[in-house]
Amino acid sequence: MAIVICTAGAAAADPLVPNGHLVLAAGVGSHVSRVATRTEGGVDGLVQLGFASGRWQIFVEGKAGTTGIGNTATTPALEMAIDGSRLRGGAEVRWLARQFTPEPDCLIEMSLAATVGIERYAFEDHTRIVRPDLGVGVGWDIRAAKVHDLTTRMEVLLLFTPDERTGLVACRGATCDAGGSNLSGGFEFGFVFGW
Amino acid sequence: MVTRALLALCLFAGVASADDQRVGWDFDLGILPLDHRTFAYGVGLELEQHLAHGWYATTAYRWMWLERSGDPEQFGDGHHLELGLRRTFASTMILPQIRLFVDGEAGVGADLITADARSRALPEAYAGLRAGYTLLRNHQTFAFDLGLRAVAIDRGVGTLFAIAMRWGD
Repeated sequence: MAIVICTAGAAAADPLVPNGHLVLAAGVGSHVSRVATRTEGGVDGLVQLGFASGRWQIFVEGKAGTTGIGNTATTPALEMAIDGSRLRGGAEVRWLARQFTPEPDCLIEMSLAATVGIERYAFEDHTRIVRPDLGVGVGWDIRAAKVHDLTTRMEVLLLFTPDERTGLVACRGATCDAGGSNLSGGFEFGFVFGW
Repeated sequence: MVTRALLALCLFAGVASADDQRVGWDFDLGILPLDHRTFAYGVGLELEQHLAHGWYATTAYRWMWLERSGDPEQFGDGHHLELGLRRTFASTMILPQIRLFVDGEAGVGADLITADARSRALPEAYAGLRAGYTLLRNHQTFAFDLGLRAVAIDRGVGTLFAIAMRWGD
């Protein structure tokens, strides 16, 4: 918290090139999280649409991609692998924390972000999981402010979801709503091109 | 204690010259000697404040994903806070606006690890090297570096590799 306060305090006094007025971006990403005591991961395509003003951007985001349990990069090949699809819809607020100007029409920026959304998993064994998520993150981008705000951005989000206490085996063939009292964390990576 | 030190560093940063502050984030991965070998992946926020003669006070918060392979796999997560010092060992300007550097760093920290349905606090000490480049323009800087650090906890010594970016004003 102190680091975030320091970031905000130091940046607030600096002049900077503000964001454009529109957020329109598309890209690819990947994610890893925990589902029913197992690690799942996959790759996503994503689109973002919203508004911007000054240091702030607020937008909605849609993601569609794959998911796999027991076959992700972080999990060695196990005998039981379950594949499926994942959808996520959410809203995100992004705040421009720092800016470096190597050339007059080129910016290297740091941003802080917060997001809330809904995830839907559909596994090939007919398991369906719908769960909310809440996240915070950081981003790095290169922006050409004088050329339609062309932006290349990399973002890392920490997403926290309810930790299901019921295993996939017990949920097969049924709809398993997220429950339990604990939060489980995961990562989302995004690499987007924006205008 | 750590929180007070962070706030003191924050206040000091607030009154010092703005040219001497760096803020950024990093992505880390490595192996920690928690129970057996545990893979750790983390994302952190970093704050650095110039003290004198190339010495920087550093602090960081990091959230970590922990995983140990096996059947069943074991996993957890953790919060990490640290305070340390950093100093440039070697640097050279390869262009008027680009400086290469090798820095050394060392410090202490604390981890709150939740794994296998139980939480525990762990003190740690670390030391490492960072190498990268700094872009300079007017009174601004942007630095990118790769780091390798040894992390000592009560169960042994682990290794973390880091990719970091920092903005200075």
